[in-house]
Amino acid sequence: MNCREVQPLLVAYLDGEVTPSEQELVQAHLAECEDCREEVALLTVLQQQVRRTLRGEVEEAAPSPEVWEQLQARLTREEGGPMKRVHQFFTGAQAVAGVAVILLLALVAVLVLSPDRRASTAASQIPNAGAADTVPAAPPAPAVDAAAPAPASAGEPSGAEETDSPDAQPPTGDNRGAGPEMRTVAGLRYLVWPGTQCGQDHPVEPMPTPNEEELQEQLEQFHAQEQPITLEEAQALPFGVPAWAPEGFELKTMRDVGTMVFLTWKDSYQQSISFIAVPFEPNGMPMPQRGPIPVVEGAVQEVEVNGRPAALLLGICNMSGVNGGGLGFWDDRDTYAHMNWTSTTRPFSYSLSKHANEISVSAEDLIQMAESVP
Amino acid sequence: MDLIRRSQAGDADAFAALYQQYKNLVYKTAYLMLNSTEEAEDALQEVFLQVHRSLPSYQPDKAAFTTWLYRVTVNHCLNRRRKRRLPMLPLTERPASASIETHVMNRKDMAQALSGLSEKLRAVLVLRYYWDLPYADIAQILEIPVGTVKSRLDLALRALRAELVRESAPPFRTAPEGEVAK
Repeated sequence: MNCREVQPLLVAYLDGEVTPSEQELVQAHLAECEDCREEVALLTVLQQQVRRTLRGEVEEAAPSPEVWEQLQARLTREEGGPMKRVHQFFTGAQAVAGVAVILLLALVAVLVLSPDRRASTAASQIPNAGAADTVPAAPPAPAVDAAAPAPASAGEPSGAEETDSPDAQPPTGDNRGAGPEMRTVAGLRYLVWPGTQCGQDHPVEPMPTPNEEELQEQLEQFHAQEQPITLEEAQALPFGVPAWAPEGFELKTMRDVGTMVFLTWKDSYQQSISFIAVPFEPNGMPMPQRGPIPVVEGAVQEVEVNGRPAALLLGICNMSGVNGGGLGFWDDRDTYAHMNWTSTTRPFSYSLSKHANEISVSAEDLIQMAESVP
Repeated sequence: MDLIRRSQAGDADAFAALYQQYKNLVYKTAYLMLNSTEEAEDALQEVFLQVHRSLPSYQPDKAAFTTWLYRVTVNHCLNRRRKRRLPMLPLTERPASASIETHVMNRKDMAQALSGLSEKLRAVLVLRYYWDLPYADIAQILEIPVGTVKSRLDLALRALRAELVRESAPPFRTAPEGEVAK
């Protein structure tokens, strides 16, 4: 082993986290390399200092008793008592959780992108595109997996948001009596709710509730449309694909539904990032949209992708258990983020969604990935 | 485990005991991630609120409770920092000094260098060098491969070293005696 091979192992070596064979190799190299021995000495001091510093920072730190009192008050305010509501939420929802997660990205896309753009389908421009021109049935808003909705915390209001029609009224549910506002961010319409609840501002025709068998069938249909693809193969496609993905993520599959194409990156924990390309008329609307996307205040912000405006959506409207009206809850867990933008060089609109924790894929990572589309 | 089972069943006393048992784990992790007493207390409240809501779905056979709690806490802190664009405030003014050895021995400088790290790197340092967790546990908490834990720790320590070296350099080069500026 030479210095270049040994140095990346030194921290793990000092932490006792190398394999026995690596340990032997490192020790053999250190016995004859003074530079690496000095490196080990410096890293040892650095590690000790980091330990001491971190411990010193929280040596006397302790939360005040008021935190528990405030927490208790919030738990008491929860609808239906502290535990009752969450039990109800999870009952029944767990059964469909797996399917819901997998369908999530497709549902977001179906909500945002109109399926009516058959004239210039991505399929016609993609080699081997012949998959069924269908998408899974979509509820009025994207549903999420069986996780309790977190309260929407105050985000950063985007100064770039434009208010279109501030007089829309909420249908049902408690949002402290205030109505949602329609706003446009980077060419997409959002229905921005003031509280922690979200949904459409008009009654929606209820979707038939699928049973487990039907869900399984939808899932199988969803997978049947997927085909394995490498990044090299994807880069030959006409719409441009991200050249960069966060560490640990690899392009796995393509799913062509005729009106749009999904590419999915996954990591070893099956966390996913989905990229969607849909053609649009260069002189027409920036992106077709069926209806406004329900969000809460602060959840959508305008960002830039290679100098063009893009919408970044943090969290998702959890409509589990709400069918045909009423409001869902805003789930602001960092597991979900979604962004939309248009190409600077090609007649395509793009969407990127992540279903991955923040440390694996941050919102900044998503933007970086978007910017890597040539 | 009994506390967890009872909390899952809706026992408020058990949940209160659970809070008492684990509040320091959450609070100290949050404090080290967010560098603020107020933010750490907010995080403590939000994390236990989320724990309370999600307990019914917690499956002990999938992950240890502490692993799950660390995960909720770290993710919450990362999200919070990003949403509020929290600056990592330097704790003190950096004193002038001339060598990395001097800096390495100065805790305040190290605190400042730590505060300049990205959230991802800070998270692995906190889990490893404050909580002394094995790489495998950190990988499970952060849902990343062990190899990524290794590379992030390596990157974090090298970034700290680079920062300390950079800061130890004099702000300008003084002309050697006798040299005349042209």
